[in-house]
Amino acid sequence: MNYIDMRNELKNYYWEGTKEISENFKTKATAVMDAAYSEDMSPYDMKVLQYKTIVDMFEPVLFYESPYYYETGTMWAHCDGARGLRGVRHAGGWTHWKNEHLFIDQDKELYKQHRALVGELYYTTCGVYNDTLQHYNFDTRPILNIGLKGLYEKAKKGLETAREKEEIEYLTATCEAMLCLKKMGEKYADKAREMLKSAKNDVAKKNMQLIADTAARVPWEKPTSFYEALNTYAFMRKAVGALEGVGPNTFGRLDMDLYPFYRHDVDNGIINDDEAYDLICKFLITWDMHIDHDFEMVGYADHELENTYVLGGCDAEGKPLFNELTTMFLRATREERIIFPKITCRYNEESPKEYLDEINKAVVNGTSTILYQNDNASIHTLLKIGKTLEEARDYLITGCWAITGNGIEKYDDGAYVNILRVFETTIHNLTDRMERTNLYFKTIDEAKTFDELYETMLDNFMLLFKERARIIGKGGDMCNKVDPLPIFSSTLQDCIEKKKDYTAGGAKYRETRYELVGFPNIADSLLAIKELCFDSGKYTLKDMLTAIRNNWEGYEDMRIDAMNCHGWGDGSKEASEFCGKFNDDLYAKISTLVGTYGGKIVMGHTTYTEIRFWGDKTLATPDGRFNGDYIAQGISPSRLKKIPSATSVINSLKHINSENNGGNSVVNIILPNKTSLETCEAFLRAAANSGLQSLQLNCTTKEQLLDAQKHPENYPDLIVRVCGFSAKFTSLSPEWQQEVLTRNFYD
Amino acid sequence: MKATIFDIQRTSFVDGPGIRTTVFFKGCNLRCAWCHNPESQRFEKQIMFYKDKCIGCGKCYEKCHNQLKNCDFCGQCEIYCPSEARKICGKEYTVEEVYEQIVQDVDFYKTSGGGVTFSGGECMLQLDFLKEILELCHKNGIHTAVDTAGCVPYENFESILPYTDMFLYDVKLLDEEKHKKYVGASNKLILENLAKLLQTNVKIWVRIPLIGGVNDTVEEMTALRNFFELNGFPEKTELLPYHSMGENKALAIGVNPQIFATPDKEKVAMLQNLLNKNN
Repeated sequence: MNYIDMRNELKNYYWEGTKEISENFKTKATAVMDAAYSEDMSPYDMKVLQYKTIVDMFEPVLFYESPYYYETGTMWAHCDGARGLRGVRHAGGWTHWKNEHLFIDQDKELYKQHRALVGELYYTTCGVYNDTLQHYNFDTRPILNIGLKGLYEKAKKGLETAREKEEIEYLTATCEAMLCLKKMGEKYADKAREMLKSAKNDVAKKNMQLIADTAARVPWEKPTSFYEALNTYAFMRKAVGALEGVGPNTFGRLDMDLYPFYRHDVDNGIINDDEAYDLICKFLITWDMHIDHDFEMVGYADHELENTYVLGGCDAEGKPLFNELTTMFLRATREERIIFPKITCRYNEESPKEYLDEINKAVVNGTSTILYQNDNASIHTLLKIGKTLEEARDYLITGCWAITGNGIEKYDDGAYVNILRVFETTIHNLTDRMERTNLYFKTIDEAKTFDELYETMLDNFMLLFKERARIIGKGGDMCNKVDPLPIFSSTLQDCIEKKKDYTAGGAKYRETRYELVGFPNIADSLLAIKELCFDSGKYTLKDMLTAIRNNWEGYEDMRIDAMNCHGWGDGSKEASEFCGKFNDDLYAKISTLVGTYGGKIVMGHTTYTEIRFWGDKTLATPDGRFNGDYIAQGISPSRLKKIPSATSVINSLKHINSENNGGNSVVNIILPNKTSLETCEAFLRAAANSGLQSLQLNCTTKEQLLDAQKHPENYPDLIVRVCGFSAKFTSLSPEWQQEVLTRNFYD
Repeated sequence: MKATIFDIQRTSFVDGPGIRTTVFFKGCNLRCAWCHNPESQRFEKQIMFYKDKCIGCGKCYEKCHNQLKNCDFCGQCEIYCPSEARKICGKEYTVEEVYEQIVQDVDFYKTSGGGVTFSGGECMLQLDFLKEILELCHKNGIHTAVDTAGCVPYENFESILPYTDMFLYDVKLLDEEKHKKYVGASNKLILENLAKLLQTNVKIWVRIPLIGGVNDTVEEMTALRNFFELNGFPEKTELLPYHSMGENKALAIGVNPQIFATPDKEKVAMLQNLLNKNN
């Protein structure tokens, strides 16, 4: 690990005190904005006031050891840009909070119903009704191509033909936003000139001089060098958060989009490979040092900084993408022990061996900081929901596993829709919950056939799907009146052209995702009911429901029978075919619905840290789960099942029509810690032809993890993929370590 | 036709090249003192009882229709034991049933250069079954490996050669007296067979369990190297350092395990060096 001075300087700033800095700035800026506010302001006027105030008031933060200018000093270190995260708010949320009441005022009953459902049957981390907080896949590419100035001119030109009030307001706000960003750059340049005077060593002088010479020009003007392009990503990552109040949770496809700048600089002798690598190391360390990776992860998302970037995959023609930058980013991640930003490595069956080896080198040694995303399944999925082939090939991952088009839409997280809770409510006949949520699910107690029971369950799921669609549909309509997003919209295809903000439906695509929770547990439960109560008749449905309602107490044998039934991931024909049908049936229901901004609703199978926290409060299920046991992760087999091998999980996925999972699906697999690069590569290549979408791969054994618990000092680099993010195993709380230890190990 | 098999392990990375499915046949005609699969030695099914796991709940007794006597291997005690203290070792399979499991991972064999490995016990002691399943796999393009201790008539090898892509051939000791002492049989037939097999075109990996205080010596490895110099080198030799994983399993079948030392990494590397053809 190198760059000690830079790390120390960043650590001194980020590891303590940024919450207070954020709070203080918010208080001061809010006072100024409140004083300037008047009732007749449109939300666009308010947003412009917000941009201008923050840009006028912020004090740029530069680091002598870093060549990058990006830090606004207005947000908590852990904040990805979202206006309010884990109880800490920043000034970029002023417009939203000022207008937030509109969400409620428009329909108080709707809001009441939404609040009744949150936490009970679905979970939404992001905004009042729908995802207005995070997963903004801000597209930096237009700025690389034409600079903020180019966007400004585009909006200015649009104004010439704008007639509608809202069109004018939107484009005016866009122009003002670009000018504010320009001013930000100028302030960094001023600050660098000031700091240059007190720079004590050559490195500091060089960095401050570089910033002083660059910041007033770029990104207002388009970047012309590799350094300027990299800085544009850093600059916009913080600027979007600070000014817009939303989390831009992906840098995009860095190896692809930065390549022309790298090539240009190297070919013209401006930099060499070592210098390019040095810039990449410093770029990654910048984000990695936002967090102390050794502090204990206890809660919901303590180690989560949300941001990811994407490497590899294929280009617009479908050819494998693997270049010098891909290697440099992966090498820097290994050598500098980077955990954040997260990396998504897209791969497909044609990915070069060198690329797969480069990804796998760290993973097979127990350092799992990568999400594998299978292009084969992902591209087909995106085609099915209407993207063009070129768009599908250019897809991105935002945040943990949010799959989305690049620069053509925002990943709109419709919620973690907990179908397992609907299932639980039905199985346990929880009338209290039905009354609280105002959703009355049909009973299955008297079902005469399995088909009847199954259809009833699907109808019950649909009741929640419909209700959620109604809520986000109406809630989404209000986003534009609450908090329009001119900066985010400025690089989104079609917004400036259509003179419409993203929140007004300006983007080319507007899908909403339902991330379904608990598919494997429900599938296993249904299979157990089918096998034990209807096919073999070993137990009556009544007896089984009684057993489950008693948390299996006194029914231990039945519980073992239930766990021994066929289940998702065991590779059996019975389970695989049933699960394939179950997935198709869920899709058939959801695909009839309309979501936010009038777009489609697509489904996926991902579950965040709720595998623990939602598991805690979910009662026993017919698959043998006790009250409070973990929920399966995404589409990973339940840990209650004896899964014969990792290959069996992949083989089972062949029976899932992944095209129906437009919201992605994630699988956890743990291979042994002695897995070779060759084996890992072969495993991935075979998996590329299954329905695998996202893979969280760890290479470790239970014995190794138990030893790490006893001797943490021996395992500083044992990094596990937890739930959409990675953390040092030794930094996890005992409860989280236990969660990892009880997963299915395939050794 | 049926064979008694005690485990089918999918996604095996250690029994030959690539990702493999390893089929473990029950029954062996050797009694290696360090055997890491002691439950594989007898041909008949056995109940394994892990005393340290037993919580004394009596569920096995409750479920057994013979009061835990005269076991007919119905499996009820294993299924309902809440602490996994009881395990039935050995199950009869038809060729079709084994093949059905093997064929599931064909995609992984293709991308990894893997396939199926028949191991044991001594798989060549259930020859008719082995031959049939080998033929079926071979016909369907699945790479086949036979893991053997080699103590069977050479005709057995000849009968399966057309369907066997490679052998994993275990050699324990070149010293015949020591071999008798630790393995319970002479090594004569084993070495003769290996010598003959080395004259064929079939791919061979020779594997040597390296047991501290028994065969982890320069003399033994030199003797083996001399054997190769005389009869031809296999494609690969692998030293497999002793581990004590068989200990619990031996106790579970009521056998007192013998414990040996594990040679250290440096020694393993040094001895491995002696066997390398190019040295």
